[in-house]
Amino acid sequence: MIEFGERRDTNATYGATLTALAKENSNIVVVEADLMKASGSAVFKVAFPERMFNVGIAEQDALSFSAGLAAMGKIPFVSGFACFMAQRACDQAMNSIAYNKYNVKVVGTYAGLTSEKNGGTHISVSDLAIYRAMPGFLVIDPGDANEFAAVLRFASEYDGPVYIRSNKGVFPTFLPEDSVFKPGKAIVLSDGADVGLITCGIATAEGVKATAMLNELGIGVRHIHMPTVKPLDTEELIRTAKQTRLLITVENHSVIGGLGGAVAEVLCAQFPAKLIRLGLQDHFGETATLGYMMHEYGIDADAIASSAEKAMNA
Amino acid sequence: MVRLQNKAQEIRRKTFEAIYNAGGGHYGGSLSAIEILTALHFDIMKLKQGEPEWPERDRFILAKGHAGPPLYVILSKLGYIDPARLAELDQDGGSLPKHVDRLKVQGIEYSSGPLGQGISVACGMASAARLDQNNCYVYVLMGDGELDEGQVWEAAMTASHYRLDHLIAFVDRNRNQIDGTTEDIMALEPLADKWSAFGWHVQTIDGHDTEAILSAVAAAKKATGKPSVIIANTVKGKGVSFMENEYKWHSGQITPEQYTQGVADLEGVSKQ
Repeated sequence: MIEFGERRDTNATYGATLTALAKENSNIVVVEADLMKASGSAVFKVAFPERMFNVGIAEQDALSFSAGLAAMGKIPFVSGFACFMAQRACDQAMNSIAYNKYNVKVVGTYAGLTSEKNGGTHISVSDLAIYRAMPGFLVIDPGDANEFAAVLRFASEYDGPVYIRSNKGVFPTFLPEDSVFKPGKAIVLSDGADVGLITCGIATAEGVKATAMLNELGIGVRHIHMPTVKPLDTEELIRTAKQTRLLITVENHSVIGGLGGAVAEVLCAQFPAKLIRLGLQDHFGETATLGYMMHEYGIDADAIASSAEKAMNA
Repeated sequence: MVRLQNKAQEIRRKTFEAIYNAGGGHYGGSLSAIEILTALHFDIMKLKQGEPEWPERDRFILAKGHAGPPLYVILSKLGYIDPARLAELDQDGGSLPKHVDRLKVQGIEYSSGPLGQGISVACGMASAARLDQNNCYVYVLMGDGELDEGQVWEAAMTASHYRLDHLIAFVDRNRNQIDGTTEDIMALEPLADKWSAFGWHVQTIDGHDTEAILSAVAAAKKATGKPSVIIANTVKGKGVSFMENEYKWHSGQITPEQYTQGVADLEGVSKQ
């Protein structure tokens, strides 16, 4: 049984972790597009003012500028709202960074529904899909702030482009503070023979709660947390598909092109299985609280448990 | 200076030949940029023959990535690539794509093609160099049509804000873009005023005069505390009679007869 720890946010984790990493590695630099407030990098600016570049409200410039830093051997962490990092600066990510194979870490803040009352234009429903489609990018949606910190450390040591999601707000932690991130590896959170539950990002905590509810009903759940959306842990996915009766993916993102899409691609090619994809069903977000939207869109614990129970009884 | 002008003309001939052998390509903007590229690589820039990765080298970004052919000719002369590879330009499975590619061609600093991004990358390079107390200069060559891209002006602000005085930009001002003249499609003038307003040191020169190019770079290096732009007035399709100042020769294919005419035009200039 997974136990939740302290509620932490990725915002405070970002600044503190990068500052710590930057003390060890003088090549780490930070690039912002007038959203230090969202990323949490202000403390980095205090510690290393000369290693912080803020290009203003210009996400395209921010990504290409980061590519130039990387070309000279720097390890830039560039952040901005996930919607803008993926959509507005898509071509810069694709060409300035991915095509050139530059060592840039792109951090999409206020990811998905966590942008909350900023509303539909600011809620990134497709950032995972967009970055998944870029050759060479690793795509990671960490489950909690502890894993987020581990991902930042991994990214600083990995030579190549990485897209990392960061959230707005505090969320329960369920992984240890000193966890080591293994790219492309899923984490098995519970075992069971009925439902294979595959989650990433903030949906994993909901999955943990849903698992407890389903267990109460006598439904066994093999819950795997899949923070690396690309490359997917296909081995663990197929194992889970073989061991359970149906699979459910849950993500803070559209069901098109993200975790659900990635899982469907693998299953179709390697092990056809019944799959239910929970997430935004090809629609935008709205101006509302996170809890409201997660429930309305069917990705909170109650909705996940309800979908699983219904599918099992179908 | 005669040496540089002659070298430029030789590079122009080889560029024309390489594009023709490739089955066509971006003649216009390749031929207009020859003197700028030649002056940079054979006089201005700190480079080492045969050592494209020399850490202290000056950096050059060809933001108008479609002008790869003349740069490839130059890289072959610098000993960075085998001249025999020029025959592979744009060929299936070949190693020289028209839009420059750093992962395929030694001596290319940045793979470009999508316009407007090169100057941002140059800003990042110049910032990193300053952080490392590397005194190198970062040069970037943009097309004038490229200046339609909004990102250029984002980067223009960034360069000025961060006082990137080791960034020297060239604008290949050949006054033509794909669909027509720059002033018909999307007027750029008053161009020098625009760059000045963005906080840049601005010079306007004859972009086919290597002496003027050298002098302008020397002046740019003296303008400390701000980035420099050199607006180089050029002729699109320079040197080939039927291409000069014709926007339709941004890219295209020519007939064997036109090739013969072009070669004669370029040899005629050489003999003058």
